[in-house]
Amino acid sequence: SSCTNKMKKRQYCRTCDTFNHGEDHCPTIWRSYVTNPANQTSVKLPNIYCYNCGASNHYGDDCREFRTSRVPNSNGSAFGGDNLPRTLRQYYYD
Amino acid sequence: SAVHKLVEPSSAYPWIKNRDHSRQAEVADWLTNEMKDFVDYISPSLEEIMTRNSVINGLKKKITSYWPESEVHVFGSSATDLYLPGSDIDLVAVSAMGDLEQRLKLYQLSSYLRARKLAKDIEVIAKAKVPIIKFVDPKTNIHIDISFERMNGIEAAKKIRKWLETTPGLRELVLIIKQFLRSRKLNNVHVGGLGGYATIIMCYHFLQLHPRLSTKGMDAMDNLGPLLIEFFELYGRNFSYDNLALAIDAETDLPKYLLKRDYPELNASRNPFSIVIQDPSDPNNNITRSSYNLRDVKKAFGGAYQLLVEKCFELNAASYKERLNRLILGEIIKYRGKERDFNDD
Ligand SMILES: [Zn+2]
Ligand SMILES: [Zn+2]
Repeated sequence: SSCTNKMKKRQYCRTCDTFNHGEDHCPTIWRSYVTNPANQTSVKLPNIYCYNCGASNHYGDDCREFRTSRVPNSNGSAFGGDNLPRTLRQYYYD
Repeated sequence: SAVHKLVEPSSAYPWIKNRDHSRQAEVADWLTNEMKDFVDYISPSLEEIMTRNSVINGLKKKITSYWPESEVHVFGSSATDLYLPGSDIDLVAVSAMGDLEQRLKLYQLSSYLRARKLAKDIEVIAKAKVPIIKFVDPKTNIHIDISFERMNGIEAAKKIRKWLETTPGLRELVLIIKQFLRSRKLNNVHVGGLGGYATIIMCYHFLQLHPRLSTKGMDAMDNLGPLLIEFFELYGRNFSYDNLALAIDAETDLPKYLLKRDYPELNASRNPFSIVIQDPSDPNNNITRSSYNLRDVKKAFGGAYQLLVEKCFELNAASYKERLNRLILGEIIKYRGKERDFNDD
């Protein structure tokens, strides 16, 4: 097990610039969307709810409250501001 | 080794016959295509639809001729076309008098059905909270449940049909999650599982709140693969069952979360780790109050996430030759039953 610990320390993903996972375990391998062109996406923020605290101004990945689910979320999920189309992210993070 | 699932003829993965997606550049698209094949495969053929309709219409006619003051409606999965092969047909008989639920009436109808050879294996369940007559159609062997004087199932079916129209991908996701739960025996509310209506609301909720779909940043049908994994990611890993209840806004029909502590009437069990879904037609009713086995449901969802993600990583790294005849959806779903034809129409 000391061997796998060493392996874990050395893992790095260039796509995400993170040490949380190696390149062969990058979530972008499966979370790869077929997206619409930017001119087809909506221009205002959608209906938003937090899966952790229930607030309607942020997504669960961006929640500051204590996380009650017993599963860690080190790599982010679908429900974060980073997963909004690029044009809407500025309004979300304002 | 066991992880290398090759597809044999007459396997538990009949939907991939003659269809190979292993040359898709993206594993996400591979999974999307496999999901579409599965849905095509389990979708009823024209013949099956006609058979079910004739059973339904025959029973409607017979029951209303026996009880001329009554109306008979279909609800549940047969009313929304979200049924899997072999699913029950749910009927409800309603009347102006509202007295069809009386014990005597239940027994009278069951004798009538038996005498006319319209039913076999009849059971009258008169003492339950929702009294029903259960039987099997003698010609088709389809299981039928008749309940009485309850409009909520009809209302729910109406809502579901509307959601299916406004939410691309809902039908595909629901059918796959239903089969997933069914193969793990987690779809039976009588033993704490998730019912059909709860499954549909969870899928609708997830799709409508998804940051890429709610902004038209992508189309659901092009992205079924990542969406399936993200459904498991949400409900198997991240969602706070402790704090939150799922609800649908009565005015906008859009999903929202409620704080459980603000709605104590919805969580009578007071167990914090329980799933609560507010009935869209009755704010004081929790449609998942019987689904006490959340632990296993969440574990199954979390496990499915893990299996699918690992399989995607493995196949992404594999050569085209190694990918041949491999499956992704097959990691979490099997289908056993008599062979079906594909439906592409
Ligand atoms: Zn990465
Ligand atoms: Zn929050």
